Amino acid sequence: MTQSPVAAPGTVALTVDGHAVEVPEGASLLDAVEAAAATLPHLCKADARGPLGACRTCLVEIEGWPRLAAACHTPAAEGMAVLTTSERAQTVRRGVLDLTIGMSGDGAGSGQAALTAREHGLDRSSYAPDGPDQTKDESNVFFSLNMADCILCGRCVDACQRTQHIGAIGVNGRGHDARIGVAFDAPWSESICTSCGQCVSECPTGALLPKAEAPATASERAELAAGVESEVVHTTCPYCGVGCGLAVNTVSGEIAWVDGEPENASSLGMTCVKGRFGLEFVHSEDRLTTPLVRRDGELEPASWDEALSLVAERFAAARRQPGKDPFATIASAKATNEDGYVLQKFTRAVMGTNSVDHCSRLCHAPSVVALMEQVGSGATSNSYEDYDNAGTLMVVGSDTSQNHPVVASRLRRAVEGGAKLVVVNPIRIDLAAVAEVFLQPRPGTDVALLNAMAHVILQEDLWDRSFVDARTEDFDHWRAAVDAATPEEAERVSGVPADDIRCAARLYARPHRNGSCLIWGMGVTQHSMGSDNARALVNLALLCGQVGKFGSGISPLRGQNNVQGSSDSGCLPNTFPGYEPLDGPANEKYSAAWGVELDPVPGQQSTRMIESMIDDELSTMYVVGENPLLSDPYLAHAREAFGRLDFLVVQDIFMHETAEVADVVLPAQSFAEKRGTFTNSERRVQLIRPIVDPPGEARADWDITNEIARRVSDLLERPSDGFEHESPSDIFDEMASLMPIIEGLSHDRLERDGGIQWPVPDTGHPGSPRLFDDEFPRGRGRFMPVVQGPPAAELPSRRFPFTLITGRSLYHWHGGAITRRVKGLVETVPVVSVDMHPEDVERLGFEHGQDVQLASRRGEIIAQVHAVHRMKRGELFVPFVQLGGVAVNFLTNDVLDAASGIPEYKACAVRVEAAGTPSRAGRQRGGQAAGQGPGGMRKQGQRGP
Amino acid sequence: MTLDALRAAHPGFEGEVRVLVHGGTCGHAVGVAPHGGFLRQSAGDACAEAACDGACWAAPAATVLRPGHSHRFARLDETGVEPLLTCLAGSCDARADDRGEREHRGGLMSRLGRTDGTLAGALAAGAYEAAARALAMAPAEVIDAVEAMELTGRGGAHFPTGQKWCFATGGEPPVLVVNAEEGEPGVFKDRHMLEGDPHRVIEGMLIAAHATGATDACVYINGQARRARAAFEHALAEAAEAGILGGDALGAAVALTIEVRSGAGGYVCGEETVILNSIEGQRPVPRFKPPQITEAGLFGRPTLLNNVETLAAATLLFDPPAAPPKLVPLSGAVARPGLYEVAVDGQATWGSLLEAARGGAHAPPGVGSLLVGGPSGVFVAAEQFDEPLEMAALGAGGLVALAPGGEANVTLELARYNARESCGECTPCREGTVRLVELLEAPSLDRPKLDELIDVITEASLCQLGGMAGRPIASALATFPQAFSNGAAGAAE
Repeated sequence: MTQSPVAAPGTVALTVDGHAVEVPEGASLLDAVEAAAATLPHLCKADARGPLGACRTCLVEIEGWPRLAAACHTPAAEGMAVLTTSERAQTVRRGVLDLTIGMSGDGAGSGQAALTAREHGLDRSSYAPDGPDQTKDESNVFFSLNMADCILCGRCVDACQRTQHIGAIGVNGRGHDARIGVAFDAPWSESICTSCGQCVSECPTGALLPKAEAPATASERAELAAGVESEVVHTTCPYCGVGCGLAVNTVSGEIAWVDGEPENASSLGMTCVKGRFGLEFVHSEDRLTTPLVRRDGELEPASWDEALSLVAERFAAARRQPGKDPFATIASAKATNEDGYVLQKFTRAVMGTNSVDHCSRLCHAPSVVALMEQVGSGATSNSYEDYDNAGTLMVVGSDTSQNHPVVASRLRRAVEGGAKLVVVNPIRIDLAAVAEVFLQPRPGTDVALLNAMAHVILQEDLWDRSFVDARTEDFDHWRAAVDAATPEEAERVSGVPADDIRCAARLYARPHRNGSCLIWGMGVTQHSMGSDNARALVNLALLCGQVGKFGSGISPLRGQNNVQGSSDSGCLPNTFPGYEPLDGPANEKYSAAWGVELDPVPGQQSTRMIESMIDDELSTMYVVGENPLLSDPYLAHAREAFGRLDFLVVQDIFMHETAEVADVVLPAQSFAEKRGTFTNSERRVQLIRPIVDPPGEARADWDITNEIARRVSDLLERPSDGFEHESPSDIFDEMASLMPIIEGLSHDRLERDGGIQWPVPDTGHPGSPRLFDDEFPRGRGRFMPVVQGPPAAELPSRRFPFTLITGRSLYHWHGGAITRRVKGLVETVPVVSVDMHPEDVERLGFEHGQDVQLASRRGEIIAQVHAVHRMKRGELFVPFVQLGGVAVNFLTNDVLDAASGIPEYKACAVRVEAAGTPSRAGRQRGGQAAGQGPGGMRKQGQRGP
Repeated sequence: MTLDALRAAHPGFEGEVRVLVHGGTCGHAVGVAPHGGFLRQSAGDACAEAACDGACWAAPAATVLRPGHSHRFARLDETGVEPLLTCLAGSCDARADDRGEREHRGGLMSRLGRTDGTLAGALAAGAYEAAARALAMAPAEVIDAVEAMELTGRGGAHFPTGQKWCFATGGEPPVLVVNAEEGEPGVFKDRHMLEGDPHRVIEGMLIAAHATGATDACVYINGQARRARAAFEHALAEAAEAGILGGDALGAAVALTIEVRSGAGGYVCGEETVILNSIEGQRPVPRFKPPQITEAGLFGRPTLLNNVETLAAATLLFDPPAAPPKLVPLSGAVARPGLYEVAVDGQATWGSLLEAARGGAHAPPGVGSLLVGGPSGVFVAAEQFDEPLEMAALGAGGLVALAPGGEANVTLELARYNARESCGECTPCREGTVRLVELLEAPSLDRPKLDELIDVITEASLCQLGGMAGRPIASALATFPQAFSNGAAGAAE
């Protein structure tokens, strides 16, 4: 036996089968065995998870120990002599495997259990098989459970309870009757399961199996592991702004299944249902595969050359057109930073206008307005990791479980780890169940509520005086405004008990450990006073000094995969890339770099472009990866506006409402076919990599825009050398050379180090998990007095007695252009529903599940009633996905927040009637309601200029 | 306050004659209540309810206590209460005095079923004397005293208690968890102690808490042991009221809070990490070690876990018996099943223990073997009855006397019991215990396969339920090989 050498500090030295190994202190024997390049079965131990100790297949002999030890949960200790191949260990391991495969229906086992048993010389169990008479549950849309293949290793339960912190599944029954299942032995689909599929990814045997037709079976996974060709591409999820890492597995050029990436610091191995089961849209038959050009009123296939010639000609003509800004671009928050950068560069440098915007206008524009004014940077200041360390987490106007499922998991994890949660939402969202205090204000009363919290914090002297003195300005001016904002007054306005407001204020101002994190979503911003709401939040953070330190921060949770990056890359009408102002030295820098004198006058916000179309000022548009004719408010009006354009180019992966009215449609590559970077909600710049070949002639957005830019430049007889990028990596290098926030980044570095959080000022900089630790970009943080106004521009009336709130559904993505191409998601949520308090449902004589008609002053839709206690009486919720032609934005109000231009999606007045009730206004669907004097009505409600 | 003042504040019953009706689980199971009601009418205040005094066989029973005389009247259902009333009236046969029998039993059971169940009664019988003395000492001295009396863990593992307490000191103060689960058949010592002398358990906890610095404790009582829990909670309330808990009634400030918890039952709930999961509201399955519970146990805190009997025995630290006492619940094919206290002195044998339970003239049919330690235990054959008792061999103490010839049947039943009680967490136990039953039920015994499986379950299981599930089978096969010649099921029929 080899003598163990003495270990270096922090490590332990031991021998495995006679070979000396050294492992870090705290490592397990399994780690030591793997360090010694020996192998052991370990069915219940996932590489990235802690030990469960349940399968007992990793048994080893340790010299001097009376019993065998399970290597997965036995710590390696100095001087141990571990034997993996001793006869005793092998015999007992084989005996355990014999019992394990004996659990299966046919006695042969399945997946890793079968493979491992075979490696130990067992093709079949020596015991009589349990037989096929075992539990099956096929009720979940995405996957099935077959207990005949289950070895009760517990990895699925661990995944559900301790990775995702959902707690839907567990072990029912005891002993030999133990079964995996959900509460009360109900069908899986009736449980609180969110179909994230973490359990399916963990299952080593295939007892939990995706239903997809692709070879996405866990048992086949085991076969694949044993030699069948499959490839893994590490990429970033294309859905929301959380930025989860995905390990996408392909077989024969098609996406087969998706696992999480445990090394990804943002997602820690998690995904939600869309990330794991929602990528089949990539292979949809509906993908655009060739350019389309409108001929005689119809969109018909055309060659790239024909389509781009036409586009270039018309864009060049628009460029030559006199008058103010006849051209505008809408960029895509689903596309890459590189795509966005090239697009805004084209708009500014070639088309001579700053009218480039993207959907951030519809989500966090008010947050950006407030943050820019008050601290000088619009991004989330902290990392998700700070949630784990925070004493208090305050989540305002964010149904995180529906919109950012993996962040919701991280929040639940933080609560389990001791953080206290404050939830502010007019709807009793899932997270309220784990909250310390849940405040349920009337929609649109946030300013009153937040000012009252500030009032309590001042009155009870809970504020951070030294932070306010050293780091802020305009405190006294602001303080005067909150002096009158008592909790009692806020109770009157918001309906939230004054004592609950006090409780929330104390929790936020004085967290029991480290700091407090403030997290918010669209419930704050999508109001006609959205910027004031955001300002009130920032005031609170400044008052309590809850930014820049460990476990604290302000987080406007980003909606789209790359909405942060699209803003960073300059797809905003009022800033250059990296948030540099349009005038002054930045203008000089970008003018010099792009070889053209750039306009310092801000362009148009996307929501105001509608107005310009109506006024015939805007004639030509280039819309990339956006569908404004579904996502804009008051759709009937928006349709009319788009109808007035002279020339509309839509570049996307699917046909949609906007593309249908375009003159040219250009087929783009999806995230799965190209290279580039996404920047997530915690400012982490992450690579995406091509997974499959593009369909037909689809090209990458940057590549298409590049060529359009060259062609337009040629027609305008201007140099086109700024658009000769060879690759996304090239483009990124140009961005890094101009944008201080990513100066130290390159694709090579991201390839090597994984995702990095900006700012990264130089190549040696490790990235910035937290901002504002010693100063704000604008110097001092600025208090901004705000006062509560009317809760919404349109209040309930006798004719329209309900307040309608819109938002997102977990099972669909925004308007649904992508998720309608995922069978399982459509099967899970097939129709647009309206959530209503059961008493309202009863009072109106409806029944849960029946179709009803919702009408606002702008349109009508049919939706299915869901009687749910999460709603308050008099309030309704409808997701804004379009299903079966029904879209709630026919109802919403296009009144805008003055400072940010965001529409008031979160509150409008509606009435509910039985479906089929003749419309009193004489209108049918909103789609046909266009042109009936909407302008005047809109202007009445509009507060902005 | 001092102990004398405490006693003065709780004067208790002052009459000369006392009638104690033995209630408890044993008495109530056989209908002692009507007898008790009748006696209360006859004897008035002199009559009170006590718990079982260990003579389970005697139930329904009542004891008359007079100065210089003690007489238990057994089987009131057969003899009626006339003899008892005669004794109460003063004309009692001096030969019936059973004080000698009781003194022979030593210190642990001295108050069991001998008081009226009140704090006053317990104080009058010496309760809290040891705690009052211990609280006046330095914790380290208390630990030394416990080490000196060579007390070991009475849950069955017999780890030195003083050493365990010593490990619990030095860091963050531990939470004290008391194992009163006692879920296995044939063991009923801890329930008797909680029903019959709950203040001794509280006293032991005070001593342990003082020695280790614990300020909170949780007593995990079997969910079916409702009388034990009720009696203990009553005692807790009395102790708190009197300032014993949370006050200074014992002369020094006591800051020990005690909570009582019960699980939904199951043999595995007596495993120390299962208890912790159960108290935390988790599924009752074992945790793996490390971490040891002394480092991270209940809610992740350092945890000191002791058995009820261990803590009860700790109250003897100032007057330790010459030989370590052990409570032995004895049942099965004997005339006088009940709770016995034996001095493990190297002289006592299995046979002498059986003799005490044999019931004198009423000799039982022969005892073929003893099952020691219940479903995790071993068989002791008649030929071994002369061997002296050893503490380690006694385990938790449960003895079941078996009539000759029943071994194979009992072995099969134990295997079924273990299969039924497996929690299902780990594969070898969950699957293996069921396969053991299958092998034992087979028409002919596949001995090599059975031996191999026992080996796998024993070596591979996560906790000791599985780890010891094969033990009685292996023991039976070694001790009574002829009984299994046609398989266990064949022999059983």
